[in-house]
Amino acid sequence: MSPEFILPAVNFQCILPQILLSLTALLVLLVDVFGLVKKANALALITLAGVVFATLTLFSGTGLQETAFSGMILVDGFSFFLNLTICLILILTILVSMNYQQFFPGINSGEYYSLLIFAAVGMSFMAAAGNLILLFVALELMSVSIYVLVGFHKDNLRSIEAALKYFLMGAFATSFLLLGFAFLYGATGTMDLLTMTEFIRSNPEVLSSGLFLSGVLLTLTGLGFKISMVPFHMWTPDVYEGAPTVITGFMATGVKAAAFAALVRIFMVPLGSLPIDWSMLLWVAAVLTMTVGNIIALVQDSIKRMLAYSGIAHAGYLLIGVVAGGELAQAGILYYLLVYAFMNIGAFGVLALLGKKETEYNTLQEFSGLGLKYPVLGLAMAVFMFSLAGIPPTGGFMGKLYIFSAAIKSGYVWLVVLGALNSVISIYYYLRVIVVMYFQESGAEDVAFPAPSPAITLGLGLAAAGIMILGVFPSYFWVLAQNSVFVPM
Amino acid sequence: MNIALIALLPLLGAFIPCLFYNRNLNAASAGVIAGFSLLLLLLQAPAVFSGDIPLYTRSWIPAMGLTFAFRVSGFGFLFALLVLGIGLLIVLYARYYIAAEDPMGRFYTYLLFFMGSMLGIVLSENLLLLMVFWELTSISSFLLIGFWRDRTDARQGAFMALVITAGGGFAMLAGFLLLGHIVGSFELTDILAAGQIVQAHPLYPVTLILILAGAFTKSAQFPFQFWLPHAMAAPTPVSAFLHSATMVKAGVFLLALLVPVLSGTALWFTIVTATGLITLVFAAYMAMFKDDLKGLLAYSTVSHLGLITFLLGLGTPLAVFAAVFHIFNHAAFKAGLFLLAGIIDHETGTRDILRLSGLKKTMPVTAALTVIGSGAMAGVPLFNGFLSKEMFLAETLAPGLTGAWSWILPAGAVLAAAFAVAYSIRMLHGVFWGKPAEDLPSHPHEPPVGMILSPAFLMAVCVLVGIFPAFFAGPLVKAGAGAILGPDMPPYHMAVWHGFNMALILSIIALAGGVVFYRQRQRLFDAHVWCSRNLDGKTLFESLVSQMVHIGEMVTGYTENGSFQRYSALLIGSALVLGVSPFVRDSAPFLGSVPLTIPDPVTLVMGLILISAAIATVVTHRIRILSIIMLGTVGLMVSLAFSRFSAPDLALTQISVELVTIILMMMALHMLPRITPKESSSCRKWRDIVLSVLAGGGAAAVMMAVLTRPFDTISDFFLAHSVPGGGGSNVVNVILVDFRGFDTLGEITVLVIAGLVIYALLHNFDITGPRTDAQGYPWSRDRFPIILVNITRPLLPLALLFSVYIFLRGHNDPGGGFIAGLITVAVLILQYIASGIVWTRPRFHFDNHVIMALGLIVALVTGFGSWVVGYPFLTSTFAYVTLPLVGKFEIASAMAFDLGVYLAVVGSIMLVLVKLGTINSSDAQIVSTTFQREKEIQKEGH
Repeated sequence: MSPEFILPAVNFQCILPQILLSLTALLVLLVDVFGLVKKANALALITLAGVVFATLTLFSGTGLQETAFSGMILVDGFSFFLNLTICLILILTILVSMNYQQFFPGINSGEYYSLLIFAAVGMSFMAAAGNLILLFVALELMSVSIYVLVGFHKDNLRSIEAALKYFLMGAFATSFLLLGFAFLYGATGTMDLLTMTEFIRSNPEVLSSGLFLSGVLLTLTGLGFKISMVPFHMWTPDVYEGAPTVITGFMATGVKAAAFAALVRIFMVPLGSLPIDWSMLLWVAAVLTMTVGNIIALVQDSIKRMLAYSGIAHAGYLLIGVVAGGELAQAGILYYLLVYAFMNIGAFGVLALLGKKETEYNTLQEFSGLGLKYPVLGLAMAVFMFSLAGIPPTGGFMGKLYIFSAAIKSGYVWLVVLGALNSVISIYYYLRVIVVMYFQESGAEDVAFPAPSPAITLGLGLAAAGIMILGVFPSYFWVLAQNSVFVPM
Repeated sequence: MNIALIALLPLLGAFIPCLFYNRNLNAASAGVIAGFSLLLLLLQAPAVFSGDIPLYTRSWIPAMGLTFAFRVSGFGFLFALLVLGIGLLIVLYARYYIAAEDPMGRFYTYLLFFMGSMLGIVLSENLLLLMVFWELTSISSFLLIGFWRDRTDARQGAFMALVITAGGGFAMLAGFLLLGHIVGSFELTDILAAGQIVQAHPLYPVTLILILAGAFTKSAQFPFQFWLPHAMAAPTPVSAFLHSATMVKAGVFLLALLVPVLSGTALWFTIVTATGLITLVFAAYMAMFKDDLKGLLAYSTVSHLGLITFLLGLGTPLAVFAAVFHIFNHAAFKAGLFLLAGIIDHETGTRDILRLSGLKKTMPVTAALTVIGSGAMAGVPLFNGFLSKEMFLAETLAPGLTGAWSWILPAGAVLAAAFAVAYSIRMLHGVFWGKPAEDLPSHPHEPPVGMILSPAFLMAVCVLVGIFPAFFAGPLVKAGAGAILGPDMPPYHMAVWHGFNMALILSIIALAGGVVFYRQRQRLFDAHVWCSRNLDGKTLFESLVSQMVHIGEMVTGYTENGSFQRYSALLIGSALVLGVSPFVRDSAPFLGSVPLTIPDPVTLVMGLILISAAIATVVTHRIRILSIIMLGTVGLMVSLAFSRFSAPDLALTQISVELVTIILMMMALHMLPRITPKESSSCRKWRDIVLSVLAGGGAAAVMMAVLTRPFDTISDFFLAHSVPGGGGSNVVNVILVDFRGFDTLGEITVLVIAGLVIYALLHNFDITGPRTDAQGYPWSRDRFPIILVNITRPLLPLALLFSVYIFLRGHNDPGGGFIAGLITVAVLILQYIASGIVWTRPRFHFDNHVIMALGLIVALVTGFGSWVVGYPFLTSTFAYVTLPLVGKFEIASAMAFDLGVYLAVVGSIMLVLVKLGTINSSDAQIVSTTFQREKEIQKEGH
């Protein structure tokens, strides 16, 4: 071995939250295997404690702007903001799971919580990745954990079907992504995002080479699959419906946040100067994604499936931000992802509230009268729905406002008009849920409303409060989002 | 701050009425809050009347141009006064109206919530802030319409109203964003000053249409008029307040507010005037046929809103003045009429004009007040409605607006006015005159004083303004119109008598026509039956929704049928298009500058075999064993290709992996039926064939494109550093155990974990393979053919020796721990297959778990070894020794590491394969019985 070889400087401080999260995951696994704690919620509480602690350590990294692990990890505002979002998603999911596990005792296991955390670690590395290779590995860590989580109801055929479909299609998509990365590497000679940005800036002719563009589009395929961009969205409803409700909420928000982080890191910065006809492709994808999601959501009787399609539509709104480009749009995307985390996990949390042994309730009918029986929970659901529809003064409105105005600033007027029209369609199906909850007496006789546990009350309360804060006092988080945009150093 | 408080007080205080259980306290607290707000508003009066616009600004989100800013313009003041004044009257009225069993606190909470939002709209300085309040009024309207939540019509009405108005709000949001983009600010002060910039901007038409969409939906203008009559399911005070006096006027408020910015173009004139006129006539016509008092008033409201829209569409200063005046007048008489209708409903139990009759005897005060209201609504002189209506008629006569079509405006206006007269008469005459009705649900009598007080006050306003307009309404309307028009304030004349002019003639024609219409109502009713069946907006809305739902179902049916095959077809097809299309546009699509090598015959033959074997794999896929053999051929050819193109190491690895994989598949095959059932239709088969040919072709083309482009390789680095750095001339092996030793350590760890996991998964896996083939013949009884047994047993030591050889030469020649491991596995597993587990197991004494763990430990210890002597983890060292017979020999620490790899590979793969071989429960049975028999034989031997 050549003696001059020196190990690169390792700065563990930069990935401290991820390390803590991973340790928590291992700990909870061991605690479960050795049966160290017997109380019902013990595993969830240990996980929660670990995650909260990791979240707090996040703040020790505020304001940092550096690279670590030879450029593999970017420690910047962007990763801080997304890590915060991901940790919040994780915390909310754990709180909601604590309620859900009374219907599905199988959830209350070390595997479940550790997989949840490992998926989040994957997400968080995706947000922090400065290198395509790390991005890919993180994406796989996240995806594999989630494949398993989707099939966690191992006696439920739909859950297994969902897991298998997601896994097989995910494997295809990932291979396209990898091929795309390979082409990008071939065209630019680097996997490092910052170097790639630099390379493109000094060799603009690469932007029109077939190899490069093919790499870009295959990358878009792989990431588009994860965010359920049309035409790569087909799996979404089946998987969202088959997966355990809490997992659906987790993946709808977390995976989307992580994949959009990657899209921003790759598409909005190094590729920010793509020729116009290629960004038109994204334009079309954004419109299709919004429209298909919204139109199909109209038809759904199952709230879970409706939320799945609405998730597609929201990916479309976020894509408007990607199309718009620029720092304002980046901040808009960050803000929207944060709001989306609150409102979507909240909505799925309400779904997870009802159930009986090994059965989920999620049709509209089964939810009729919920608002009358539990006014506060009904109010929370109303907040989530209003926010998803984008009606002020909720955070959903602010998110849309930011993204739309960024798009207008960049001159994409028609995109915004189509986005607004799509929001009009979406009002119909979101409000239907509220109407059913508030204006109908309970329709299905055998649906008993179990009293909500403290954990879920806390979770839903947190989510609703978050939405209202983001809607009424957006300034703090907006400034935070604006200071968190990814600018290559 | 005071200005902001006007709106914020009711909003923030909304929860207070909810806190009390006493109905009087509910009402009183709401009244006090509204009263305070009114007081704060009135404090601004001096400034407003002197032409100032008091402002209050606080930054909210500076980056977005969103400020928390309020202004009190004259127009806003007028509106706020209406909101708070009528609001207070409603608070009083509702105290008596809402039944004891309904939650009154909640009602007042919603009401205050609405009041605050509405005040927010009219007092906002920032367009985005206005937008927020705009949607808040939609929500509060939704809550109030649905107040009686157990009623289906209330539910539907509330739902529809919110979908329409909030939806329009989104269009408006987009419009506002565009407007803000054009002007560069969202502050009204800036926007109002930028009319010319806006109208010259290319985005002006889009902006205008989007904003109009918001305003028209809110103010129930054609074709969105239908939601308002269905919103009448709300409690009557709500209808009076929201759906006639204030909220529905938010749309026309916005139009009037933006007149300086948006009006004056042909586009504005055409759209707004036409919409206003159609709404005016159509709704007035519809109102005549409504038997429900509130339905009649609702359509009348729509019609009057159309009138105001029409005036704003004209856009002349006098028209705007008339519009502002009519906003005021209409609010007064229509709110009053609604309240009176509520009283009638409350005291008689019905609002059906056909059932009600002759109430003037039993309810004289109500009757008198209704006469005033109806007179104002019909535009009878001495009531306030007359004044603004006459201004309106006069405006329609303004010359040169529409050229040859100029007659259409006055004609439509007169027609609508005549309809208005007719429905006013119908309401009055039908309800109060005639012989007293006898079958009413409850006995009619005058309401309590508190209830009649509010409508009485409003009617008094109607009369006073009607007679002394300049005194009672003059300053307010002047301030309101002045705020819109600025310096263009027209010379106006507010008085009952204008002299005998054209407008008066039109008024008289309208009055007379209305009487005629009423007398001829039966014929009109017949004609109407046809229209109502075809022209109801609600049916349109519902059919629109069901159309959308239908489209959704179609799209779902096509793309979301749950078929994994279809999903992946779409995924792969799209990826193919995306991945290949950039190359097509490239100047040299699929061939780069690197020249192609001419293939020699051997390679060509290999390629042909490879292709035909691959095709055969697919074609024979239903006969599994054949398919696997073909697959094996593919693997073999790939290995040969590696060795042909100077990658012997890869070839060795590939071939051993192939071997182990095929064994694994054979084991799995044992559990499955021999033949796969036919599942694809021929149509789908063709789709799949086309798709796979394209995907394969696409991948090949892309490969071609990539490989024919010049590239740099890092091979040279490794070739140069392999011997001096790692002491081995087999670069692949040196990379594995040295340059990338850390990766390899990770990989074998993963391999071990995967082996354990598969073992654990298979542990309780109970599966019974078929014991016969498809034709029903049992498998061969000779499970362990003697020839195979005899060949494999001597093979074992030879192969093991060979694997040692491969292992040892690994560092310099093709080979290494990984390949050696696979060879060992292959030969060991061959013993299991040939001689059966019963013979093999007792003879292989080692435990695969232990071997696996040992492998990991050896690899780790090697790594730490270099650490201990002061080098970084896994640094390797090497030395040359000369052994007798063997010759010069190299010992590298990497070799110990490679041993770890070897052990880990052997352990984990054996673990899995042996487990897989024994999960078939029928086999397991044989095993256990054979074991027993052997033991018995042994015992007998003893």
